[in-house]
Amino acid sequence: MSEMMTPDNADAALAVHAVEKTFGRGSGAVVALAGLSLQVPAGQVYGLLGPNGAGKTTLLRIVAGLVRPDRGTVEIFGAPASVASRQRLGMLVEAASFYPFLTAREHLEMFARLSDTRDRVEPVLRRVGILSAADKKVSGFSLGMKQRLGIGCALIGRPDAIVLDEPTNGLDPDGILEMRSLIRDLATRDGITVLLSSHLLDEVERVCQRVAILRRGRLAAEGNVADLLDRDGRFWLKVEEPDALLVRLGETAQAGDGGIYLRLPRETVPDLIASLAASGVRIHEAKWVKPDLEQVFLSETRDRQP
Amino acid sequence: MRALLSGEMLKLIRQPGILFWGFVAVPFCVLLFRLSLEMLVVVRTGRGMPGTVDILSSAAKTLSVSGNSVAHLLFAIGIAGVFFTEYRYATWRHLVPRRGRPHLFAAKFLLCLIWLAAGLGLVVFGDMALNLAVSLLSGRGSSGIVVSVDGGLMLAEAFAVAFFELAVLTAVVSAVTILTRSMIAAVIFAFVLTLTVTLLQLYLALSDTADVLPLPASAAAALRDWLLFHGSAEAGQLGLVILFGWLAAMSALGLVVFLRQELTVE
Repeated sequence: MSEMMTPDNADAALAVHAVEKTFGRGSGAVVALAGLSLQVPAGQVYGLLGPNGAGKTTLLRIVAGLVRPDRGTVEIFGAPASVASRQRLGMLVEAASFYPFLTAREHLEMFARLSDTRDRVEPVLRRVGILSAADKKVSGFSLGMKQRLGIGCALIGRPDAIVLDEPTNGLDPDGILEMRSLIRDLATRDGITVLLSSHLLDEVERVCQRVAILRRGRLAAEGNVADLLDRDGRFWLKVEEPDALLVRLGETAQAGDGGIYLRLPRETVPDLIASLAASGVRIHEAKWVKPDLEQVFLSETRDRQP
Repeated sequence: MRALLSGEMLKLIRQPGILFWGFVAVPFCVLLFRLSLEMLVVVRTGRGMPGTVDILSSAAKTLSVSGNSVAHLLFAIGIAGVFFTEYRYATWRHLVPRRGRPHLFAAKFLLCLIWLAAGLGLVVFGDMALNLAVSLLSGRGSSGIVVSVDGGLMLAEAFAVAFFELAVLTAVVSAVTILTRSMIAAVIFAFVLTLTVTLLQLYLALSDTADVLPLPASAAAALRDWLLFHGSAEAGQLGLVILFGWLAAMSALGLVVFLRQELTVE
């Protein structure tokens, strides 16, 4: 991981330093986090990606104080993670779970009393779109409404940063669009840092400025979404006699889509074109092909052949 | 703490099943039992109990219900219900980031103590109201009842012992609920703990007040006997020490386990 891609520690809303966590002992032990370090810059929407078992939920539970790390530290806005520093965080960890016998308003009022923000109940209910159901018991709520209430609970304490675990889970398409808009709004209008853990790569690509990909408890890739996509881009050429060129270019080249794909730094493309043209290769078409986040994700999280 | 406590109070009030069976059923049953007894006397003899009744000392004697094994079972349901709610609905995730675990533990513990004290208060109030009603209905007016300073002292001591015994029960049940993350396990443990005293006393042919076993129910019985019925001071003081030991040990156990508990699932 390049040091250049890592923001300054001082600007980090959340900093995780060499966190290790193992569940169980002996041969049955499962390593959930293996020395994970990452920093979430303040004021941005930061995506956390990883396949099942990568350690995302364990990380979020450590940040929430529900699980203690075996080693390593967590800092929230520069202060060691504690009950006091967690007051600056709003959290929706895993599936939204609530007291089924309370109403949405009662939930928010109860949590608002803990942060002395009772004036926020009405605006938060309105903002997450459950004002009309505010006085209904949560037992009658759909999964989507529970997700909205979960985000409401995260926002009620007027946090500087919120951690959202799969926030669009269970929402209908309109709800997903609203939620994405809300997340963007939180960062741009309110200046709230958002750590978004999601399986929906398309969602992360649309919403997040920066992303971390976890694999087996380690950081597999991290950086600006645009940089990651650029870094994994490929150059595609359509030439006469591609077989001859494939042999000449060796392992960096691969046949595909009626042409040749080349994995090389983007800045070397003009030199390559010039050298191919000078050596008499007739080029019909050439383009830089950007991957989507799914391709980056798969390339970073698939088991590599030895 | 006030905000936490009001949240806990709201959660309990919104669970009427746990509130009733756990904290109100015992005083309700005591009142029902006393009412049945009075009615039986009236039916058999055609009149109420003769003589005057010191309503304060009568209420004090009724408070010995705190040592009853069925009462322990019901109170344990209430206490375990308060602690188990967060495990049942996976809601520690809302509370732990907002407040320190010692505060969360203390708020639940305090809520149980408040409701147990209210339950004991209901026992006292019910007994006094019943004695008054019986006196009025039997045509004796207020002359059928007396209020004495000794009765008041006895009531205060009985209330303190009963409350202390239930505080120990709260410590035991909360520790087992947190340790096992199970309401049933905690309720059964508390019931068996009380039942064990009765069984051991029967099996070993012990006196239920003079021979103090190192168990809460036995210790509370000895303490109650010393303070209320002029029993053995030595046994009573030993009972007091045993109860303090159980309260301190089980509260510490519950708190330490909760402080170190990994809430990977709640």
